[in-house]
Amino acid sequence: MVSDYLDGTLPERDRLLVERHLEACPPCVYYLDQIRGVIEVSATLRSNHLDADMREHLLAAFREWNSTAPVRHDPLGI
Amino acid sequence: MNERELITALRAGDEAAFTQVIEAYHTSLVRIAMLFVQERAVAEDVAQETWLGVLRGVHHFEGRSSFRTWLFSILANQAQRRGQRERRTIAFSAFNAVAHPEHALPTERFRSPDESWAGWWASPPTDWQVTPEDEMLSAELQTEIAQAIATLPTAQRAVMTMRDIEGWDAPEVCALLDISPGNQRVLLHRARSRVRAQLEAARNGKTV
Repeated sequence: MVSDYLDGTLPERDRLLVERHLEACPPCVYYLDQIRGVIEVSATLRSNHLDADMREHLLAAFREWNSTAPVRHDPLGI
Repeated sequence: MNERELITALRAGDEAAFTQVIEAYHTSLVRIAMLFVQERAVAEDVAQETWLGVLRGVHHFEGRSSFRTWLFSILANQAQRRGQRERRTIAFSAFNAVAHPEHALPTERFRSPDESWAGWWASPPTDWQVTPEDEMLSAELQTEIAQAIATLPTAQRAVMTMRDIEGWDAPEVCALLDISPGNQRVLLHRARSRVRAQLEAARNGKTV
């Protein structure tokens, strides 16, 4: 219920019930804010810094593939 | 570059296109591989094998799924194959083990049915914030939350990593882990609740 509410996937009627409850219940407001904070900070954990050595290693594999690639065909028709 | 253009460029051997996808996805591949295998080095291997799989398969990729879905399905296959060889991966069935009921919060946190105000908070959450106010605090919170996620049970850790760190939507997570939408919701909620509870315990100077 909490996750559905925060994700905005709760049916309208339930959403209104939750919001009415929140007006009267500060601890639930704190609880929801804390869960919301956990979600926000989690999203910042997605680093995508590619290590330079790994990048070179993968590019070398790509070049190797590129030099030996078989006859190409194109199922997408593009 | 849209997906079709990207696939066409990869097929044509365009190094810039390949650079773009490895920069966008390699660290995510390693992070997701870590959900299936135990060791970092093995996860790195699995991610590399995944790229070789992409190159082998790109001429046959028909664009019925998104590139990302295709990429991570190759990763899941590679991780499974690796596990069969080494018997060290986490069985995929682990992600479906939600049989026993578990409350997101201990029931003692609420008033029992025979008390007045039944179902209301008995020990209510207090007003501490998870909003990072400055950079220092933000880095501390990141470490704290990363550690809390790392200690979650496998299935919860997998769902929370994919939904909240990687930012995938629910159907993508269900497809990759082969779990039902209901299961996905429950696992995500339990995971977020446990992480919050660990932060709360740290602030109260208690262990969970």
